Amino acid sequence: MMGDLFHIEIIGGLRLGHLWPVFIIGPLVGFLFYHLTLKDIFNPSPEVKEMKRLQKLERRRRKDVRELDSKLRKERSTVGRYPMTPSRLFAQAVFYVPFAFMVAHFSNTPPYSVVSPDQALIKMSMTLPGQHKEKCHKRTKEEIAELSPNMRAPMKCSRERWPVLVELKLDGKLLYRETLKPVGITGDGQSSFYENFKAPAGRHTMSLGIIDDGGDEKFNYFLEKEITLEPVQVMVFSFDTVTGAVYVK
Amino acid sequence: MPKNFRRPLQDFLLCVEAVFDRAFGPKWNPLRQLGSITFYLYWIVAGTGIYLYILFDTSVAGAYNSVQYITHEQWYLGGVIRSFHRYGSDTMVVSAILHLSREFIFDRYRDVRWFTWVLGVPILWMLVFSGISGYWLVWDQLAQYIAIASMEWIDWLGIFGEHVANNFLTRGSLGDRFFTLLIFMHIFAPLMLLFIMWFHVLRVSRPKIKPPRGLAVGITLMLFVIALVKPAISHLPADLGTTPTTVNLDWFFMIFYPLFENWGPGSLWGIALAVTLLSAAMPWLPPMRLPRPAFVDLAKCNGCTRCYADCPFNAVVMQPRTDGRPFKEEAVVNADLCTACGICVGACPISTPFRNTEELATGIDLPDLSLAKLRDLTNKAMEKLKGGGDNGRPKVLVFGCDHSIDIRLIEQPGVTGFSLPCIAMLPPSFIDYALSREGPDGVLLVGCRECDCYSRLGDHWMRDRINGFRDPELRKRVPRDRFRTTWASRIDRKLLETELATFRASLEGRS
Repeated sequence: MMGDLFHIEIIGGLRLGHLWPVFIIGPLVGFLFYHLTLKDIFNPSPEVKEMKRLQKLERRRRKDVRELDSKLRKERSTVGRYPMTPSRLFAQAVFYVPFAFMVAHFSNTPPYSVVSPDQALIKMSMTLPGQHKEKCHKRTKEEIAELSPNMRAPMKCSRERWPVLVELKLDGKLLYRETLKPVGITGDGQSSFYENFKAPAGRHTMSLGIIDDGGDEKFNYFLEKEITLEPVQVMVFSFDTVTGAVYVK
Repeated sequence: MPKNFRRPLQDFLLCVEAVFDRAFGPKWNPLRQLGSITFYLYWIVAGTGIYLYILFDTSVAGAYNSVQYITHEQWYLGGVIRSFHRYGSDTMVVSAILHLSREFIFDRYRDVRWFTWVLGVPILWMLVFSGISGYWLVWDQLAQYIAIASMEWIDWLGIFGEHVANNFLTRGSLGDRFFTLLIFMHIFAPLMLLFIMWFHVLRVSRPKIKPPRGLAVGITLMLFVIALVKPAISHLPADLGTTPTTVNLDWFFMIFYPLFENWGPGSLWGIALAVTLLSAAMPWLPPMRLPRPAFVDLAKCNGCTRCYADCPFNAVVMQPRTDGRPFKEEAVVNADLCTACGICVGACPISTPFRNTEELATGIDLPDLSLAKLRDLTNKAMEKLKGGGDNGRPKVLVFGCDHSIDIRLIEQPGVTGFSLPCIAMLPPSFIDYALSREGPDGVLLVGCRECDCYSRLGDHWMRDRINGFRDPELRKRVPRDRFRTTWASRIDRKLLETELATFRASLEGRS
């Protein structure tokens, strides 16, 4: 008997038996739903009732004020209203025209010169890790024994890195010299350089020096390169101290 | 800063507005509708933006071509809509800045208005950001220039590990994913802008967010003409391998970029921060104004809600009765929102000078100028008129407004009066009172210029009360030819003198 009931087809192959989760979970969800939400709607507390009464009053009042306002709008508009004569409309047009001209004009004029047509733009973009402030050293057995078991790494390396100094020259003329600290609260990140330089088109000698070990005189990396700049070209220049790769595009 | 440093600016603006009044009328005067115009332009820009977005290709490779298609292939619709979008946003910047300047010049940003003013500051930034982020999407040379400059400006803060400008380093370095982020910014920023604009008007009662129809039509027509005469077009497509030599900046949004090039990002951040903080701090800079707020006398309040309906700053709220009297509600003043304009006093039906109680009191009153004091001042002025004559010419009692013309300027034998914080503070029964007693032959009410009430709605309410459209109405028994209203600003002395002279002449004819 029960088996037959389960096999009753509701629609398109969906049988009553397929709905058993709904019959079991449904009442449970309904029970929770009633107590968490519906109860307040169907059987609100006195505070909620009072709040709703006040809200209703407020809504009615606002509606009354709105209705009164709209009723009065017509009357009000006749009070002190200026008739729209052709001369007045013409006068309005006279005011609109210079304003429109101002908007249209400053919307794209005067033009702004970014670079002159015989110039190019050199973009230097490098993200360089300075060397670690302390060299890595191999821990002794005693040092390892002092550490908790999960911290017993054979090498000890400090995280803090040196700031990186970058110096860029074009045809021997100093374009840029800056020292940047590594990012990160503990100073263990990389030093990121980004700068633009305008330069005349043509052949140039570009030299780059980098100090990444805290020194202040001798470059750890130095390279000099002949470049040719086309007019309005954007030449991107980068260097990787880890791989030693130079990127010029 | 001198106390009256605004006066020359106010005088100038009042002169300009008078000229506009002649062409547009007070209600359509665009200088008095700058806030609502800004709102209207927002909807124009938002609506046109939705259409443009439908046809816009959100990929780096397709963005420029889709904008070109909209502009040139579909010039009759898409092109016009693009121009509306662009020029509408430009006009929005102008109207927002004029609105801000006007409120500053007329000193309408302090005391309870601080909230509205302070929220105006992020509105300007969000507006600029919305505009700039829109220009990125065209992905032409202008977009390339401002996108890179913007990123370099942000990079100066050092809040990102890598420079964001690296996304624009070489051909092919700008990915579709980053470009989608830019599009998201251009959708997010205007939504945020609307959200702040909503907050901006939250504290004011009946905010003007819709311009009069005639003005809206005029602005729309203006944008349409600009769209036809000078349609918005793009630069050449962006190419990260080359730099644009010249760009046609939209100076309404991009005035900062040349400054950025010349002064550097740090200086510009400093200026932006200083201007923002200074602007936000303006309401608290001296000279301070701390008006004492209105108060409710529960013994007189019957909860009629008229003060609640008339308050221009939502400072009066209605709450359930607390004193057990047989009324449903009582008025309560939120002191933080009250400007002590006195409009509520004028709205209270209990505010009548005819009572013969020992101490005149009303349902809602001002501590600095109570109803009793108002009647005393009226009585004194009437006494003065009784005493001094002007060879038998009609005597006029003038009720003025602190923010309109100084009525002492027209004081003469047979003419006297005093000022109130707002002309709508005067209960209409005072006109009846003055005219039903010995002394004045006529009463002249002087308020701010039409649609330019310092307390926002005072001129509307006063007119409605006198014309019998709004409670408390002026009683019908009051002879209408024995009082007159004049809406004048501080510089309208001649107008007031003429009004007074013609009024006295009409009273002469009457007698």
